[in-house]
Amino acid sequence: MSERVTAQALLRRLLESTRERELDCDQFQELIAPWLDGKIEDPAVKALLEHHRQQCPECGEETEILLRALAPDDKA
Amino acid sequence: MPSEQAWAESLRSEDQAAQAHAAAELRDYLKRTLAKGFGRQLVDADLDDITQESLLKIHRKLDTFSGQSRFTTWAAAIAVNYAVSELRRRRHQHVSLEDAAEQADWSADATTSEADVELLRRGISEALTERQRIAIEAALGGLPLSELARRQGVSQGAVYKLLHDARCRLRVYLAERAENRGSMQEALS
Repeated sequence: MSERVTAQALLRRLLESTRERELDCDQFQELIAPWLDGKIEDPAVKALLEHHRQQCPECGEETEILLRALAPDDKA
Repeated sequence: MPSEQAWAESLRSEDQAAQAHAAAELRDYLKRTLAKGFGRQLVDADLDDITQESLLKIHRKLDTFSGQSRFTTWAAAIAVNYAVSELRRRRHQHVSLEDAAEQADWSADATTSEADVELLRRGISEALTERQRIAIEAALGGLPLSELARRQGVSQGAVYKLLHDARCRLRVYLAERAENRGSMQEALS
């Protein structure tokens, strides 16, 4: 069973990784498809996407589900 | 399966038969994709309902598809976003903001002393606006941002921005106090 993260631990982690410039969820959603297709070339934008994925548990979870959904089928 | 570009064009087509055929293929694709992504979290009638609703959302957004990605990736991203939000809504719709805030466990641990926890909580009370305080406390209690957004009638991005501003304010608050007491890893570095 996984241990529940306390509010202070979560807040501290979020505060420690807070940057002045971050993508919000709407901006992340607009870029997620080209990002997963490897169409984002600007390293700064890629870094912003990766940071948001780590910083926002919801967009992070969504990304995991989407990656699983889009993964090639296993061939028997 | 049609080619990516042809698929998008057929969905925009004036030819009703071509459009219906493309929509049926897209529905099948979305259902398979959602089933694969969500596994047992999304089955049977729920899977059918969310697939259908996703299809409608994609139709409404078709004009915004710019070809920056594959059509299937773009459509899957919309469907997964809708499905996740809907599942979260069903799970949390009866949880009030106050109840969510009360769910937060503020106990100290090996890395954060009682005094530091107290400082964090004081920062939330003193440095944030009322909207920021309510949102951050509910989010720390486990209420999803998508639910906060739905209740406030704003986008999830707007809630994220609100919380980002709150975090920036809290960092300033903690840095000012760190000058006096040298605490919390020099105000979070």
